[in-house]
Amino acid sequence: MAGIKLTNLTKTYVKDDERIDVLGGIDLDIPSGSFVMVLGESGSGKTTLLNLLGALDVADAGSIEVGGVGDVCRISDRALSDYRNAVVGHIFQTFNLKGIYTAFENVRIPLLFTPIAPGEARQRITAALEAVGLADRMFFRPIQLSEGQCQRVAIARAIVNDPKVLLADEPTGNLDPKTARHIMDLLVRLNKERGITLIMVTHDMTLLDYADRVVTLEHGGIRENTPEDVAAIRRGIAALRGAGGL
Amino acid sequence: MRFALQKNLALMALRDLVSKKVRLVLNLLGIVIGVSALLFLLSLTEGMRKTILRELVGSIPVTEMTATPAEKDLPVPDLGRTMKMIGVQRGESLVLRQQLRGDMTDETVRRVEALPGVRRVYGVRTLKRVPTSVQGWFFGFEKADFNTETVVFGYPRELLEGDVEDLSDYAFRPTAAFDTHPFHTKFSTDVDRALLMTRMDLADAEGSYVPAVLSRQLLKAYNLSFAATEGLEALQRVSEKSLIGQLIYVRFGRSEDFYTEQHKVEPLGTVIKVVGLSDRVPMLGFAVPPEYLGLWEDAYFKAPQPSVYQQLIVQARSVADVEPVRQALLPVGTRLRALREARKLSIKETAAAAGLTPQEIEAVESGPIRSTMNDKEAHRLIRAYASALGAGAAQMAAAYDRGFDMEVVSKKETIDKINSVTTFVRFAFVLVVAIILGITAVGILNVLTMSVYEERVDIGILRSVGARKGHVRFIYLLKAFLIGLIGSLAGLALGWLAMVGADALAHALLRRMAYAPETFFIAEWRFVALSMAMGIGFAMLAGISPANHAARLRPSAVLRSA
Repeated sequence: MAGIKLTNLTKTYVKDDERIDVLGGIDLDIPSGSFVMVLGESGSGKTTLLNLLGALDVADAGSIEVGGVGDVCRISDRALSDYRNAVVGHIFQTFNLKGIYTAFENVRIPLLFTPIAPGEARQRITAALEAVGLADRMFFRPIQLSEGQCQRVAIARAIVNDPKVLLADEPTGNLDPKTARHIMDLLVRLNKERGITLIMVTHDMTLLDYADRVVTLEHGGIRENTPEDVAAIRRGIAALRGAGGL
Repeated sequence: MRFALQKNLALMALRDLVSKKVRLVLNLLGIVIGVSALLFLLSLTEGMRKTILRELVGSIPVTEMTATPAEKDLPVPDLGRTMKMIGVQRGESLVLRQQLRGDMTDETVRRVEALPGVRRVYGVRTLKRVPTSVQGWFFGFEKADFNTETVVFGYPRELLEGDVEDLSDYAFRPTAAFDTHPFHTKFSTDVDRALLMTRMDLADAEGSYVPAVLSRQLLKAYNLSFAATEGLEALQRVSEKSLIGQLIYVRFGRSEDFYTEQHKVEPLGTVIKVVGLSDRVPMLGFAVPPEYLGLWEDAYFKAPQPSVYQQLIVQARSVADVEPVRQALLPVGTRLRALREARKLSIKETAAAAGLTPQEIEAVESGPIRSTMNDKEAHRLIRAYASALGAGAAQMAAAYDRGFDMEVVSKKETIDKINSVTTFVRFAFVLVVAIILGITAVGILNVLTMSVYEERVDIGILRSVGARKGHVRFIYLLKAFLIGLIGSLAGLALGWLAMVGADALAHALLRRMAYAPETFFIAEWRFVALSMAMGIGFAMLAGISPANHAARLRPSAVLRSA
């Protein structure tokens, strides 16, 4: 599976003549098959990091070494498309499903760009939808599904090509706590059973328990949260729960 | 599997389009109108072109031209007024005008035949000195005595071959000359009618009729005008087949209605039998073997008449030879004037360049040069004029010496003129439709640009799951193509319906009009192809910018906007 090594990764945005160093040369090593949760305030560069990892954006400097692929920052546009198709899967907060398509058709979209036979494509779509527990909703449109089900379809779309890395950008952000937990259970299952490296961005501290590792982006840098940090956060959350704050 | 991706993307584009039906219909509307209008108008011009060509050219070869001696100018300012003053009446003015033209002999035929590029020349005689009318009953018009002026043409048999189905009866029979006891113009009694019928039956039985070929155009005009007119029930439509074998009485002489007493001679007559119809025979006459014409003129004037031709039918060896042959037959002045006009020079400018007076230039151009000056003087003017235009002076002088001085109407010229007018009209129609489609394209551009904005997240998703820039560009170009294709197909269907409807309407309104064609529209495949190409082409032009814009969208930016 694909381990990921970020070296001196830099990304700067210029807005109204103001330079914003979102990522100021971060280094990060993510072993294959791990579940890394990325925390940080709004604007700290969490989504930017995911976009760079998913080759949806281009870094200004540094490198992203992905096992079996090489430095994503140095490959051609065409190879980047293949990388997005075969190596990574994206999950978004707003699901980003195509409203006029059924669940089956939405999951099929990545396979359009994969040279496989139609029969095999059907098998893969069915398997992906079964994996997210939506085998009986295959031909429903997003409008006929609940939000949790929509996110499951989006997850099925992300895993249909059997990616090595899943990049989830606040996947539970639009869901109620119960549904959020179901989605997290599903993601963890995929991470553990399939060995998919899972990198998830969230604001929701209650989800920390699910991750193997938690990192925080702040001031353009990255900070590794020690087990003690995580334990402190958990205690804080427990206390808040007890006081009815969460 | 190679085209599986393209097929899937095409289906995706189609579904996207169909999912927004109102927008799709609005997009299609302009294309539908443009394409249907183009097909309709192009088919109409082709229908008109073919109809005009059929009526004017018929089955006559394109290498053929008709040459007649150029009309000589009379040294009087107003021919019509002068004729009136000297007592020449309406019918005779035509005869007089004809007589002002020169005559051509076998020697002329030989000289024209000797020109390079000429394959064959036929001398055609018309009975121009003898006023002629046809009268009597035929094809069942028992109650309608008709009496109409006509022109008799002497056509050799070879000239009619290929056009007339059966020419076996078209031969000279010396026994069938003039009747010595002709019938009068008006049939006042049943006895007159009975006598004429008997005379015609007798001529048929004896085989002493004159075989004649009628004008196919005349029959068509009759069927589409007189026979179709309400109130003349006796005039039924006549088929070609029923006309063949009919007997007609022809009267030579000057009727009281048309001619002055001083020209009146005892009328003579003969029976003709229709053996065929031809596109070549002019509408106002009929053709007989040429040998009859000499006999009839001699009998009419009671003295031998010179054997002359009034018309030459010249066949060129190839289409490329038509124009050089035509030029060689034209008067020198006409050729020089054409050269001058082509070079956009005024008479005054040419006169100055040639060292001649404007009057001398006009004299050369208008043609009476031969009748108003001697050859030496004519040569001097022609050479000076030709040299001023940079044309071959010696060549023009030689053309003057040959002195064909003819008016030439070539079938190719007629066809070329019709074709060039049609091409111009078509070009104008294509331009108008291009403007309609251009406006439509701006609308499509607008709508597709909006689509790209609305679908930017979908585009981001496609890019995030492996779509290349080219795939995104392909989808939007395909959308434009599909708008063009669907609009064009609907436009063709609408155009076809409009043609069927317009044809039916036109036939209902114009059913009594002469020369109303069977259809006003000829939709050729090239029109269908051009209409579709324009419909699709304009839509795709409109799709280029949105497609490129969609392909250039940064996925991270558009997904963030979601």
